[in-house]
Amino acid sequence: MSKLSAGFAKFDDHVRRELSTLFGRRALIFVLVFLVLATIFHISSNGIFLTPRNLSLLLRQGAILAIIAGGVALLMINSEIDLSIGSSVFLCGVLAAHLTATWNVPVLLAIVATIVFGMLLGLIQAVWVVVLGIPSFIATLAGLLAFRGIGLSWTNAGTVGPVPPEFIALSEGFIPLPISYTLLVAVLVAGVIFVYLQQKSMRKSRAISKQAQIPKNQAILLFGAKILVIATPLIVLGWIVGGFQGIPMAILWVVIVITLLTILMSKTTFGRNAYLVGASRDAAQYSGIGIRKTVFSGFIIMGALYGVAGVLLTARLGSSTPGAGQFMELDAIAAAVIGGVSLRGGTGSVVGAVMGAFLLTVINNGMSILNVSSFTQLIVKAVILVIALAFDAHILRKASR
Amino acid sequence: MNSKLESESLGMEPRSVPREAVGVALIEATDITKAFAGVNALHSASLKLSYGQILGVVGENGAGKSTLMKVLAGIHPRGTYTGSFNLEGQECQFASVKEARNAGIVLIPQELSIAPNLSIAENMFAGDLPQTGGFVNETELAARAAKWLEFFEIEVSGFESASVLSPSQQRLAMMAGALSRNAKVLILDEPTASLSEGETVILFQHLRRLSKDKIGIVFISHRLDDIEQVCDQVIIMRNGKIVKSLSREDFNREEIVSSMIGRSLTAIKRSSVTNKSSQEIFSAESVMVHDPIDNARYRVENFSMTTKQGEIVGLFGLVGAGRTEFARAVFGTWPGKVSGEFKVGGNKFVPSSPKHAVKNGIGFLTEDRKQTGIFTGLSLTWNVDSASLKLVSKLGFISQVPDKVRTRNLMEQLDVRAQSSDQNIETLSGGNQQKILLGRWLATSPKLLILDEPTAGVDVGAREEIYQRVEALASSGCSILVISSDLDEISRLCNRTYVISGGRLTGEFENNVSRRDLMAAATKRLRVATN
Repeated sequence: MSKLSAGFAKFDDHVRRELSTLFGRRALIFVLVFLVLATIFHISSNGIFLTPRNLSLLLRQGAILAIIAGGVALLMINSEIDLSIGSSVFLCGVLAAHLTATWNVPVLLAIVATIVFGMLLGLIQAVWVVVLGIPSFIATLAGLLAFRGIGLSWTNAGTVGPVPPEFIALSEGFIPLPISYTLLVAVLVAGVIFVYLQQKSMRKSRAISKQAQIPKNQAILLFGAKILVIATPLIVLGWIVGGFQGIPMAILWVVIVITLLTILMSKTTFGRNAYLVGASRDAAQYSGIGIRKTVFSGFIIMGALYGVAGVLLTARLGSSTPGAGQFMELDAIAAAVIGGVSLRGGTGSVVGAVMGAFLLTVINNGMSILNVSSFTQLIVKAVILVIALAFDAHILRKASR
Repeated sequence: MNSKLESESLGMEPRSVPREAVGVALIEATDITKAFAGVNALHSASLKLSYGQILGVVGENGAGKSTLMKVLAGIHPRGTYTGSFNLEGQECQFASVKEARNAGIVLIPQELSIAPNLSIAENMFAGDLPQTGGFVNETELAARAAKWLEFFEIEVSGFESASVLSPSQQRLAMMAGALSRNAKVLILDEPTASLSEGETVILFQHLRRLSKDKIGIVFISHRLDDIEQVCDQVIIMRNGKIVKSLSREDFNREEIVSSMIGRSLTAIKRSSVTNKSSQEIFSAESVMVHDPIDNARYRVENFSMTTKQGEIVGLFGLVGAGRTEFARAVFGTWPGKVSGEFKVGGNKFVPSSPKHAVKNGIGFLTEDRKQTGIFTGLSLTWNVDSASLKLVSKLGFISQVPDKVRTRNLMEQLDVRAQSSDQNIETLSGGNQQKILLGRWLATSPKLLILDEPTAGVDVGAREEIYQRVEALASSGCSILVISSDLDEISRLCNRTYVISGGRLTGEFENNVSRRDLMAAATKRLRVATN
């Protein structure tokens, strides 16, 4: 171990840093936990868990939670919270069901209308929080009650549907195999180009500030490591997709939404400001950052995701049902926390929250295959959440010191 | 020194001192030495307080006054300092504030922590509420509160919320709380800092009454007027030592001031920056800064100033003089009302928010690095960027290369000692953190940069580097306002210095002013409004 870290110390600082984020403690532990759980579930389910069919199902099951966890991560990085998610998504789902099943609105228009409606819900909460200064915990708690109430009143607590098959296909459909493969390859190529450009910009900035360049062998190592991180999930996905009908549409939504959120949070001034606002409101204010604007936009983005999740939820269930989306906010917050987003704000990432969401889904799916009762599942989830937090609080913090 | 002190305080017994106390001092502290991280904050300090004595303690910021008082009041527990300490002839070193309080020594801090939603009585007796069987005994509480409020002539029921009390009444109520627990010694840290003239007079009357009841009072103040009015004896501290002790009849303002700042009364060293063009960059006229809670009170009153291009202007004042309030008013973060005329670069400027101020070319390096400066847990680059992200981004997207290059250049210019610009800012020393924050404002290319106590908590080496960067910035045309209570800093840096005391302008000096004049102006309390 000491030999390893001694060898590590000779690395260029930047390379070391990047490698330790790629293969950081958290990521490694995630992979380890995934592998351990998968093995346990696979063996005890007599080989059902690790089949393309089940994993494809798992991806579809986790899609909505992943999207919503990404959104709540954005708010939590801002040091805000959203407890209304389940109700907001439910209400958006009701609207989507009415639009397509009751009023026969074309699918595309229904999607746009639902997303706009979701943004409106986000706007309402943004007004409470930003303009009136109500803590987001309370403002969104009100949303949790009110939006569920509105949805239930509107539907008389009944089911709205069934929605047309082309709407169901938004979540449950599959991209035909040839196109699926083409997409996977395209993503891989895009990833390689992205990594190449990243290293090129690194070289450029070092040249400008007359710093020593990264030694060639290390640059190649870093390049390889990054490609490995991009390629591995794509290969696994290729295996799942090849074995069962193609890329699930729900996953396409996840990829698009999470890519956009990740770019937003890591490349734009908005994302940077969100981290700064979350890390220290006072310091952000004294830096002249528009705190209100940043938080306001965060809620609107979250609102758009209510819409997306509402569409997917109704599509997945085939209709809007009164209990849909219940406790989704708690799953989303748990996913974000497990994925390393701090409730205090300023740290974590959207991708981490998505990993957390899929970890929770793996546990759900595996336990369902094993016929563990849903009551026991709640207890297991609780234990995992607490362990994840305790782990964060002690081990990771100690390591960073 | 010790023998001199003793003879003076023993000779100070003309009052009606009770029989039992004759010959024994209330407090006798000898050779107290306390170090923080190897640096002596107190160096062999000795003091003696007799029954009924009001002892003034004066000195520049950082002279060791507070440290000494914290030792007496048990905030610095025994074992963290050396020296002996007797209360009423008994050796006693406290392990905690509670122990000190039970023994009869209470420190009333400058910033009171009053819980405005609790009742006056609850605030007074917090931590010591009379109880019966685990419940608060309301009758007993009311009786105790009434007795002590009456003593201080506060005609408010103890059950009213503490927010109805004026600042001076709050202070009296806290003193009453202490006295109700049979306090023998009250240590008052800057008790008049937030009081008006009238309130100060009332406070002093009460202090004299307490002194007749043989309570010993230690009175820390920056205001020599206060000291002259109320104290029997004054000790003057400098660099952790007690350099002088004067009894009332020997009070001499000249002597006190020169002891505070040291023997050298040489004129201020001329600053090396001479690039003074005539173009005015910033002006403030008749600025009034209202108290955020009580709008009728002023924290800064009728204050006017200007800065020119390339000029380093000092704003000298002691803690609580209204310096930071003025800066926050300009930057748009003062919670209360602000009035007055401001101009930046010749254009009218109305402070509204830091965003607006930054947009208009104003930067503000705050005094409180932890709270309003650094972004904890984030990298150096992100800490540098926060005020000028727009300059390195296009259409809302951050341009990675210019961003990195800029940070690295700034780190090099400021000689920040760090491994990498991606490092967490919390891993840096205070001095290097301060350089990063200075870098944040350099990156905005400001017209006016306000530096509030720029070298507080910064080691000597980094201090000089910061000064040099500030001078270089000034010679590139930026005008700089240095807020400081450090005479060395003012004399090292500033071309011109305004002095503020009690929220009012008490002097404007060129850079050849003597330190004595500066200190005299800063401790002056204007009796009559200047207008």
